[in-house]
Amino acid sequence: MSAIDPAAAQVPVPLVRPAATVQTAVGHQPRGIGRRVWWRHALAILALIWALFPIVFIVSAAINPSGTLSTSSLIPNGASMANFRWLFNAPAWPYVSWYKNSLYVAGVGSLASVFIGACAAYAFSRMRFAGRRPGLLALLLLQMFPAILAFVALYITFDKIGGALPQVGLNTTSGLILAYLGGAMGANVWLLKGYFDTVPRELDEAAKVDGASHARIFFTMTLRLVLPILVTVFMLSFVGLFSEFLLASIFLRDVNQQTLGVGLWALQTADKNKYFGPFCAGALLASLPVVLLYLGFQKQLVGGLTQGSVK
Amino acid sequence: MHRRAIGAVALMVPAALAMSACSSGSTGGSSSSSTSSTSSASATTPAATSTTTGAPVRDTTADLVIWADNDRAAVLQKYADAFGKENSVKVVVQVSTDVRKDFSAATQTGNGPDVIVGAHDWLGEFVQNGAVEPINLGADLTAKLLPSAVAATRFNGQTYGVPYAIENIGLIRNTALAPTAPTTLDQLLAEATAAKAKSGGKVTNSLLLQVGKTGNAYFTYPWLKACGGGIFGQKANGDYDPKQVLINSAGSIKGATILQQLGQSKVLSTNVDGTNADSLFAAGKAPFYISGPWSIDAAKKAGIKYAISPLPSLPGCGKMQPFLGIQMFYVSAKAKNKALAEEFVTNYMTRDDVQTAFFTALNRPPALKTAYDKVAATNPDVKAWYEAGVGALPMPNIPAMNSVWGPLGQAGADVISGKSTPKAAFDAAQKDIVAAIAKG
Amino acid sequence: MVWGRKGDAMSDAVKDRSRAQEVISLKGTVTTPWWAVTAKWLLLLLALLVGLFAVQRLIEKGSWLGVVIVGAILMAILAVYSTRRAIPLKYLLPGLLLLLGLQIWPVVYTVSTAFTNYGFGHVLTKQQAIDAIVANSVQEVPGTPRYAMSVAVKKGTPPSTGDIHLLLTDPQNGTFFDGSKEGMKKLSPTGVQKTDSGKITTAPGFTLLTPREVNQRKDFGDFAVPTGKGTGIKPVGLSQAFEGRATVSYDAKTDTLTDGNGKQYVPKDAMFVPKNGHGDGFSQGWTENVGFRNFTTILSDPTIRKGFLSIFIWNVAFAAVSVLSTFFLGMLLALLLNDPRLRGKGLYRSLLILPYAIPGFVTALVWASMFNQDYGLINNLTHLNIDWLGNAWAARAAVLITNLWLGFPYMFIVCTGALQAIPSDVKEAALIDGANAFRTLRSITMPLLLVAVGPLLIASFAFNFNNFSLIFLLTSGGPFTAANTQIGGTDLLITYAYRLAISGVNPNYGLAAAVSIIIFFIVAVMSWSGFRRSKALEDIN
Repeated sequence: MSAIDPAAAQVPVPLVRPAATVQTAVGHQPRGIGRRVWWRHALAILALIWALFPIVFIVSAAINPSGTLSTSSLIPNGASMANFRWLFNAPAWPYVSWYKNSLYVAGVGSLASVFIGACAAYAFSRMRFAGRRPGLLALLLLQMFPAILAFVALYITFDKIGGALPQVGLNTTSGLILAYLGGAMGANVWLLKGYFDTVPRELDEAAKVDGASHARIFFTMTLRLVLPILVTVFMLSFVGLFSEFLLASIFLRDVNQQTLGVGLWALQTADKNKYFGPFCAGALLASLPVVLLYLGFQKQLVGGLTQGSVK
Repeated sequence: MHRRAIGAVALMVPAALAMSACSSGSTGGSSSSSTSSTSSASATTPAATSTTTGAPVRDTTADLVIWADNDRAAVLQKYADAFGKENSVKVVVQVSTDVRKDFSAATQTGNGPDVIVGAHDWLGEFVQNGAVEPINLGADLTAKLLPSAVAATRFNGQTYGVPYAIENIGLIRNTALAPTAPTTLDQLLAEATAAKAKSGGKVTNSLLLQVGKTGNAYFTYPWLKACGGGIFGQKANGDYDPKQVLINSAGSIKGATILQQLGQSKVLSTNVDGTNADSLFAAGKAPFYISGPWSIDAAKKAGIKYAISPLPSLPGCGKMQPFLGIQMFYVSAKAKNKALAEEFVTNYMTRDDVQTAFFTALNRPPALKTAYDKVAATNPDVKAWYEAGVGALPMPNIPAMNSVWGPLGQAGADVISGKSTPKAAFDAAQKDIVAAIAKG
Repeated sequence: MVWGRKGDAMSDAVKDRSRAQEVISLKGTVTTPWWAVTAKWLLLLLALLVGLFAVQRLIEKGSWLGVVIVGAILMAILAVYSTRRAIPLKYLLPGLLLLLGLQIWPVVYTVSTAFTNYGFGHVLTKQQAIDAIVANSVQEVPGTPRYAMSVAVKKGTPPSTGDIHLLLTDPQNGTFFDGSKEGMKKLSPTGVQKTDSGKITTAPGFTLLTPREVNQRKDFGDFAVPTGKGTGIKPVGLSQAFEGRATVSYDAKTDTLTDGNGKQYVPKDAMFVPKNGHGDGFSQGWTENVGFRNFTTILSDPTIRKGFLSIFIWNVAFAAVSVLSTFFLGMLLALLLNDPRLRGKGLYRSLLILPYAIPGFVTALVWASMFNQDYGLINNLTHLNIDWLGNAWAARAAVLITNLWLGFPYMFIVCTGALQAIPSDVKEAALIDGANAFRTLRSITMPLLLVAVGPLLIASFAFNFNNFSLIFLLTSGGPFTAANTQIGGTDLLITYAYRLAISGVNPNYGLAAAVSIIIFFIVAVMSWSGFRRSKALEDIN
C-alpha cells in the first residue's frame, strides 16, 4: 500500500498534458448509460435543479414582457423578446457597446494577465535570485489587503496617468485593463508557479545544452508544456474581469465606455423595477462568453487548475 | 428608494470620494427616470460621448461640459445643442450613470464638468467639499419658480442651483378596487377591507408601503410628521437644525405607534420592499400604494386603472406629509467657465419648453410655474402629485441626514415587524443618530 | 511598459544566443530567428517613444514628479533589457512595475490616509476651505438693481488679455455704466445700442466679447467690479450682474474668520467653529494629520468593542463554512461526473458552471428576492414560513446558501481538474491492492485532492473573508435590531467597517482606512497560519 502515501504520488510527473493521459484511459472503457451509472445521472439531474432554478427565474423575468421583479413565479405570465429588443434599441443604455467593451477588457486583460503571470512564474520557478522567497510571500500577503479601500488611490493615480497618457487614463477601457493588470502578477503567480514546477528541469537543461537561450526555452517549450494552466488562468481571469463592476464603475463614466458589469448595475440602480426585465435579459446574454469559453477549453481546463499543486 | 440604495451605492463607491452616497437621497429610485419609452424617444442619442472617446475624463475641447444621468442626458442634448449654436460655443452633454459620485471624484482631481443635473439633497455635501458655486438667481427669476423648489436649493442662507422639477410621494389607488379617495387612514382601511372581501382572495394587501427588513426612512417620515414629529427641527430661517433631532419626540412616537398597529394588523409588512411593491400593485393585489411617480410604470403596463391623491390623515394626528425632492442644476465651483455655465442654467434651463420637456420624459411636475400650469392643465397625474406635496417640506439637504437613514429606517421596520416597541426603537434610533452627528 | 513585455524576453533570446555561441559553441544548433530580434528592438523603441511622449506631456503640465517617475521606469526598462544581466528581472519587470504602481502604491496611500481625517467635509486644503467659505458668503446687497450686462474690452486691446469691462444697464432708469477693476463710472449713452432687455450690443470705444471669448478668459470667473468696502458687481452668466458683498472675511494674522455680525470663528479639528463656542461653525473643513486618532477611536469606541468579537466570530465562520461547503459540493459533483462511462458529461458540466457565468450581482439580487418571507420562491415552494432576512440565524443560513450556490461551480472546475491530474496508476494500484472504491476515495483521492487545492482553498478563504458585495447585495449586513443599528446579524468586518466610516455625518475615509489595516492584519495572520499548515510555503525554498 505504499502507493497510498501521497508523497509517492507526487513523484510521477506528467510530461504530457494530463488530460491526454486520461483520455487514453477513457478509450478502453465502454460508454453509455450502463446500469452502474444511472444513479450518477439521477444525482447530476438533482444537482442541475439546484444549479439552475434561480436561473430559470432569471430566464422567466427576461422573457416576461411586463418584466418586474415579480417575486414568486417561475413561470412568466407571457413570453416575448421585448426585453431583448429593448436592450438593443435603447440609446441611453448602449448594451452592445457594453458587450464589446467587456469582451475587449476581459479578453485583452486576461491575455496580458496570463502573460505577465507566466513570465513571473517562470522566473520564480526556474531561477534562483535574491528576494525570491520574500517576494513570493509578499505577493501572497498583498492579496489579503481589502482591495476596495485602495480604489481611491487608484482613481487618483489614473487621473495623473491620464494627464500624461490620455489613452490609458480614467474613462478608458485601456486604462481599466492597466488597472486590473496591477494585480496580474500577484493573483496568479502561485497557481502558475506550482504548475511550472511540475515541468522537469531536465528538459530545460537539455535545451540549454542544445544552445537555446532562456527566452527561447520559455517561449517555445515551457509555455507549451504549461498550456493547461495558462488556459485555466485565462478562463478564471476572464470570468472575473467580464462582470467586474466595482472598480470599473469608478473608472468608466461615459455610457459608451462602460462594461457590462457597470452598465447592468447602473440599469438596476436607476430603477430596479422598471428595468428588471432588460436587466435579466442582459445578464443572461452576458453569461454566454463564459459558457462558450468553458465549452471550448474544457479539455485544457481539465487538469489545468490544480495540477501544479500536485507536485 | 432611499435606504434601499445603501447597498447599491455604498458598494459602488467604496471609494470614499463618494462614500456618503450611501444615503444617496433620491438617487436610488425616486429621482430616477420613469418613462423609458419617452426618454429614449427624445431626438438625439444620449450624448456627444462619441466625441469624448479615448479622451480623459472631461472633454477638453468643449466650452461647456454637462453631466447628467442616462435619461436626463437624453432630454438635455437637444437644448444643449441649441444653446451651443446660439452662443457659438461647443456644449457637450456627457452621460454619467452615477452623477453624484462621479462629480465628487472628478471635481477633486480638477477634471469635473461645469454643470451637473442632480437632486437637491446632495447639496450639503457638495458645499462642504467646496464643489459647487453659489448662484444669484435674482428676484425676477425666483418669483417664476415654485417657492418650495427654490427653498430646497438653499444651504446656510445661500442659493446654489436652479430647480427644474419636484417630486414627492402620494397615495396611489387602484380605482377598480377603491373607487373613492380616502382622506383618513380609517376610511382607507375600511375601503381596503371591503375590497378584500369582494375580491375573494385575490386582494391580499390593504396598503403597500416599501419597508423591507432594514426599513426605509423616506417612507417612515410622513407618519411621524403627521403626528407632529419628524427628523430635524428647523432654525428660525427655515434651515434644518442638526442639533434638534426629533426622532423620539412625542409626535414621532405617536406616529410610530400607528405604524406598530398597522404592523400588528398585517396591513404593513417588512416583507414588502422596493423589489416587490410595484409588481404587487400592478398585479392588483392591493387597493392602495404609497409611493411616487416612479412607481406607476408597472401598473400602467399591466393596465391597472389608478388615481393619485394626497396622503390620508392619521387617527388622532394630522395629515401625513411627505418629503419634497427637488431636481436641480448645479454649477461646479471648479467650472472652467462659470459665466457660460451660469448663463446656461439661469437663462436657458428656466425656459418653459425646457422644463416641459423634462416633464414629458420624467413625469415630475416642473418647478417653473408657467410650465407647471401648462402641464397640469392637460395631465391629471401632475396636478395630483403636486397636490399630494402641498405644504410638504424639502428633504433635508444637510450632511447630518446621512446619519439618519439607517437608524430611522430600522426603527420603523422593527416597529412594523413587532420586534420592538415604538418607544424602545425610536429612543435607540435617536441615540444612534445623535451620537453619529456628534462624531461628525 | 506594457509594450516592452514581449520584447523583454526576446532580447534575452538574442543575448543568450550569442552567449551560447561564445560559451557552448560546440552545439549551436538553435538559432534565434531574425524577426524575433527585430521585434524585440521595435518593442523597446515603442516603449521608449510612449515614455517620451508621456514625458513631453508631463513637462507641459509642469509635473516634475511625473517626469522623474516615467524617467525611472524608462531607465529600468532599458537597464534590464539592453544588458545581459539580471535575467530574472527580465521576466519580473513588467509585473513588478504594474504591481508597484497599481497595487503597492495604492495600498501605501491608503495606509497613509489612515493617519488623516480625510473624508467628506475634509477634502479641501485649508486655503481652499477658506476661499470656499468666503466665496459662498457673497450676498446680494439689498436694494441694489440687477444689471443687464455685456462683457467688453477697450478698443485696441486684445479680447483674450485686455482689461475686462462690464457694460451695465440699470433696468430701472436705463443708465449705462462702465465697470472695470478700477470701479464703476457712468457711460455716456451716445452711440450705445441695446436690446429690449437692456443688454448693450454696441458701445463706442469698446469691443464686445463673444460668449466664447468670455468663456476663454480664465480671469473672468473671479472678476468683480469694486464698488465700495467689501462690495462689488459680480456677473451672473453672460448677461446679468448684481452687486454683492462677501459677508465673511478672513484674517490670516490671527487665523480667524469674521462674519457679517462680527462673530469670530477659529479653527478647531480642521474646521472653523465659533470662537465663543455658541452656534454653528462652517461646514467646509480641510484635511489634516491626526496621528493615531483613528486607531484610538476604533479601540475606544464602546459599540465597536462590543460588536467586534461577535462580528469576528461570524466572519470566520462565514468564510470557513463558505469555503468548505462550496468545496465539498464542488468535489462531490466533480467525483460524480468523473466516471468515464457517463454520457453527457459535457452538457452537465457546462450547465453546472452557469451560476458562475452569470454576473454575481444579478444572481445575488435574485436570491434576495427569493428569500422574501411572504412572496419569495423559497418559502412558497417549501411551504415554510421562515423569516429568512429578518431573523439573524435564518439570514446567516440564507447568506451561506447563496454563497454555496455562487461558489460551488468554481470548486467544481477546480476539483474536476485536480481529479484528472491524479495519476490513474495510483488509483489502479490501490484497487489492485484490494481497496474498495470508497476506501480509495478516502485514502488516496481525497488527500491528493487536498494537497492540490489547498492553496486555492486558502485564497478562497481570504476572498470570502472580505466578501463585501455578497453581504451588501443580500442583506446589507442585516438584520439589525432597533437597539443596535450599527451591527447587523450578517455583518462582516469589512461591511461593518464601511458602515462605521459612513454612519457619521460625514463619511470618514481615514477611519475606514484604519479599520481596513486592522482587517488586513487579521486576514494575513489567519491565512498565514493556514498556509503554514498546508505546507505550501515550504516548497518555495
